[in-house]
Amino acid sequence: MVTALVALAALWTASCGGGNDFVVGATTSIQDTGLLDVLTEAFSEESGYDVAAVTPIVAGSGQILDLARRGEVDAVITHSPQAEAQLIADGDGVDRREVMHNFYVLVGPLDDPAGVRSVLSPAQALSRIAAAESMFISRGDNSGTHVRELALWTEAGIDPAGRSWYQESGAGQGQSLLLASDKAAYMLVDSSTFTVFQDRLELEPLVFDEEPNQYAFIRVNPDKHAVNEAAALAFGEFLTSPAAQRIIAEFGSERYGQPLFVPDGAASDGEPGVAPEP
Amino acid sequence: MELIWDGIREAFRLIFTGDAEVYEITLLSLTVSGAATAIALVIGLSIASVLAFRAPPGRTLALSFLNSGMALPPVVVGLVVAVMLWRTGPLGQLHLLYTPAAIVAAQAVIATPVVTALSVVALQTLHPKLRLQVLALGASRWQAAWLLFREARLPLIAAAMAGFGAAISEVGASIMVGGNIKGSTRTLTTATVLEVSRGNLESAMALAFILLALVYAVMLVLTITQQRRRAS
Amino acid sequence: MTLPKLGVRSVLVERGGRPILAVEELDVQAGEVLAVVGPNGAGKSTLIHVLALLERPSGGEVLFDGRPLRGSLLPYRRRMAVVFQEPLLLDATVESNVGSGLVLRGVPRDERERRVRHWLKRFGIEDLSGRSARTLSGGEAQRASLARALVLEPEVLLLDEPFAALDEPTRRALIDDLDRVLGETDTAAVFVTHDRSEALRLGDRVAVIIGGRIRQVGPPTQVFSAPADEEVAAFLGVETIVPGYVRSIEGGLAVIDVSGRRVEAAAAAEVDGEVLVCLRPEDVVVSPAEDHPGPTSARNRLPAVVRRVVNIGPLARVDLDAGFPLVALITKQSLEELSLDAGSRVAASFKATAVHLIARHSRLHEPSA
Repeated sequence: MVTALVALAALWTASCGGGNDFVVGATTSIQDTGLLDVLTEAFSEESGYDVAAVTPIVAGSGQILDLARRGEVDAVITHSPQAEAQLIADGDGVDRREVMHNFYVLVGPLDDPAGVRSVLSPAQALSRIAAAESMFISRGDNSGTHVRELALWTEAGIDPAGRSWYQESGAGQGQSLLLASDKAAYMLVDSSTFTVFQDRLELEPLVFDEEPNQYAFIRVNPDKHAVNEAAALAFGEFLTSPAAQRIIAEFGSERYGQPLFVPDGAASDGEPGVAPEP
Repeated sequence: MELIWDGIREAFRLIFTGDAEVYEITLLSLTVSGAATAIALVIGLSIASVLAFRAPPGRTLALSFLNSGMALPPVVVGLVVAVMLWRTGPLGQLHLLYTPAAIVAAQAVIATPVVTALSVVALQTLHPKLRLQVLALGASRWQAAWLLFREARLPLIAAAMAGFGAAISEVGASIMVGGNIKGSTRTLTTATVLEVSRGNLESAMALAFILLALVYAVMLVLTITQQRRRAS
Repeated sequence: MTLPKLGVRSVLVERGGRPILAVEELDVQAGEVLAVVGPNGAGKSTLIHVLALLERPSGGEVLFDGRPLRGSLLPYRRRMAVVFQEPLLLDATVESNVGSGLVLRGVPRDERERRVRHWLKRFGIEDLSGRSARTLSGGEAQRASLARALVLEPEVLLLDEPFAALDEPTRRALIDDLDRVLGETDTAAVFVTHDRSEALRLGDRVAVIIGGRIRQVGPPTQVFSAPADEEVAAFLGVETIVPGYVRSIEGGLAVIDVSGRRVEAAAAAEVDGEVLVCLRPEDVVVSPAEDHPGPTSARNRLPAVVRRVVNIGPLARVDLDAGFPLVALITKQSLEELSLDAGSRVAASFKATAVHLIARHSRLHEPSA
């Protein structure tokens, strides 16, 4: 009976897909909104690549880029411009294409104890939060969101590390939001994730970040690592194709009344942070 | 509390409307953890036989390692197995990463110390001379092992149950080596984590209940087998 | 002379560098019961393990049918059966247990059921066949263990102190049954015990093992009445054991012919034919030959000559010849007062009630020793 089970399992795993023929690293925010599943399915249908062949590995941007450096993924979709620049400068990444963007927004409790609602820039808001010592939740995980948050603290000239009101959650975006809501704390989050979670939260969007949160697709350098260049190229092409851009433009409108992301298909000049007007 | 009731209701709905994805996930969980437990049993019983019957020198030391293995954090196992299966890793050539086979391997690593340690103790409950008697009756070594395992079936089945429980309930290693890919390496536990991270708590709760139901069904069968008396 | 069924040559077993069993030569013939007696720790169990091919000796070899073993040990093991001190039954019905050896050998079910039924009946436990082995009493379980061994119709039967854990009446009943069964078959049996009377009762030959070495092998009468050395004597306790023939028995008193002399013994049970006459040394009274005592309650008074005197601390053992070897144990004082020495003429007296009789069943084959 035992051997039968093992044999059955072996057959199953053999017939099942998965595998690491084509591995794409993508950040949690793309997964949590559900957009990633839609894009990968559409890609398989269009391109003829097996659905299972596209293996998205979802993690924080820091982890994704680390995998890229090792050549353990064939391509990445991240939203951390400085880290991406470093990846390309180090020769591990090539062919950066901007796929879509959204905006960071500082969210907080409905009664806004630190009084940031009227403030224009997120850095200023952070100063007020620090002054009021209101609770603030940070991702603390080297993700794109976390990196942007730290940049804002630097801009505000404040080091929040170790302060009692500054809590690092180490969790994904959605879960961190739930945590912030529960603790009535402030938090920096990307607009798409916030939209998806909004009705479960007792938080309000207070200050929008002007700088767009840019999602880019980068291929891991085939000259430096043994990667699936053909599949990565095809996926990159797909993401910036009109078909995919249409999917992105419409994603979420039905359910949330507005699209979650803004497509960027045309831009691919390798310069981070340059985006056409939506 | 409402969340729990909503979850139970959603679980029934998913089961009885025959939601294909849920069935797929459930079947995968069952086969993957079942295979891992089977592997753990084969390895575990072999090692346990040697440790219990031959009582080699260094047995206590080996047992202390096995017992510690019962407390191995699954996430640590996942990390180590992932590194081994990386393209640049020693077993990269096997192309097993992000496949169900990788999850089977990781879960087998988690379950084996549990099964082995408990099997050794199970076999030690037998009369020390029983093995000699069985051999003296004309049993070959395989026949003797089979008879002795049957004698100790009560604690041995418990060991199997513990191994299965460890395998099917773990999530950290499964995500790390499996990638939680929809349609191929998404199991009940990894799907539950995903739903939680998406904030879909009713779905998460429903999947949790389905997992509990699955585990109960398996354990029910094993418990009945274990407790079946042979004669009055 | 036929080749012995089972034997060992130059066998040496070491544990932790120390020898615990060293046997130059020991054989068992088909149809014979070899009783192996010795104190605890003498190596008796180790000897059984080696004979049963359950333990490989550090040196030496086991011979089967006079020939060294060849190839896998499993076929040889399947021609033997072992009964240990504990019944060691499996958690199953009695019937299933008794048949377990047959199942291992692939015996078809019909034949298996037939043989199991036969041996359950033979040992009087057919009523227990459907019971769980765990519910049996000690005696019942040991009967099952014996049935399990004998149902295999083994060429060799090895028993390692099978009755040591049983109470007296159970033990006696089982010894009777075993004795009868062994008398009916051709099986070569090795019966290990620390109990002298069991060895006496069942053994066609007795081997004494002390400190891992065989000290003496021979028929029980010889071993018990003429021990090879002091250690054997100390363990066995020398006593008078002589063969006799029952001439008549009436009103609980048996008249026995021992080498032409008349011995009267109180016999509670029916005895007939050949018997062993046993007498403890302390029950023998030595008096000067010239004395003419009046009627006493000691029905036996035989003239005897002193062969040897051995001092044992405050006591003395006196080996007498009363037409058959007779051993007496007296105090040093008596020894001196009677001035006993080799050649002294005496009268040896003992009561009829002091005589212990052991019936001897004849075996299928007479042992050659």
